[in-house]
Amino acid sequence: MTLDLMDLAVVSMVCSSWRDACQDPCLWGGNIFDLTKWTRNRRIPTLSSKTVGLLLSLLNLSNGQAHCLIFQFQLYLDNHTFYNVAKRSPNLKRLVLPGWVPDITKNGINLALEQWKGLESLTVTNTLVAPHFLKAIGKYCPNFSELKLTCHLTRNLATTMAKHVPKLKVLSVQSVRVNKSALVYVLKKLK
Amino acid sequence: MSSSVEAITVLSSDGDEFKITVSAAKLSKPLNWMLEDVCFSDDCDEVPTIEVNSKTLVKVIEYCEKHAPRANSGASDSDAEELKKWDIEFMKMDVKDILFHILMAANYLHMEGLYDLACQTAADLMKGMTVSQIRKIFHIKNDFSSEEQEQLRRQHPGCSFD
Repeated sequence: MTLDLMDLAVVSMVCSSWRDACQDPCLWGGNIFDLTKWTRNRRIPTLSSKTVGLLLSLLNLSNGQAHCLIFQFQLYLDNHTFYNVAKRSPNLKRLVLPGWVPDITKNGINLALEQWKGLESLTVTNTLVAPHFLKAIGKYCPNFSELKLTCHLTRNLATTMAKHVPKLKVLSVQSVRVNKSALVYVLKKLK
Repeated sequence: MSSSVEAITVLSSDGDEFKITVSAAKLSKPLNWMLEDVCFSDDCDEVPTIEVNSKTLVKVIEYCEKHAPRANSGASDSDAEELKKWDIEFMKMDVKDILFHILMAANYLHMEGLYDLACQTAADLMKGMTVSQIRKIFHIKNDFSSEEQEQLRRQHPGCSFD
């Protein structure tokens, strides 16, 4: 694509026929919403609220056809935003979470994952929230098959994985601290 | 089958006659089919009409003649480099008067190379522009109502309108 997402957002505001054109599925199939790249673009404000605003409007424009969403590590998300993002991307297959999500509750995770039924791959960056995500995934996402951890693999996390996502096919623990017995446990238990 | 003549004559939608060499005409799929189906000779009085206006057709033929040698024989990297520079110069044209018509003509004549080039040119004109700059460049009237406009403003907090 020769126009980036920021350009598309602008182009979609020129007139109504251009807006229609911007909603064409051929522009959005397999499109990757990589917020880490946005921050390198000096035209995009680094403030979380504005990044989220832009993300929501682009997701609106894509008519729910986004497949891959990569949050930047420092992005702040609350339950409400998280749910709004999920609602606008029901066909999401791959999700990379931001680093620190203190304001997302178990309930918020459940509500969002309920929208993302087709989710296949998740990257979690925080040991504390990971179990909550895995529980929700076990409940709502039958095709889930790939988990990447960029946080400690603890015994607790291992137990949750075995219980809630037993059909996992790929587990990536590249350059993270791993509890050896947790890893052995996971490898034994996963189908 | 293909003819013995070097060039054929075509009519523009304005009724003007233009000469185009056979190798250049082959860049367009429909013209190529025509060349294969009809035997053109010097006494052939059949002149195909192309639904493209004269001003645009001149440019299209210019492009074809420039690109034909490379398309037919393949070329070295330095030629490709030179051709790219030529393309950039070639595309410096008025948006409303010519670029738009070139796009339509390239589509109509099934000329992939020219179509991609024209699309890229149009896209480059949009890159990094604000909404009102784009409207000005492409001569587009803002047809959103003031309510819709306000809604768009709220939906796109990161984008500037002016």
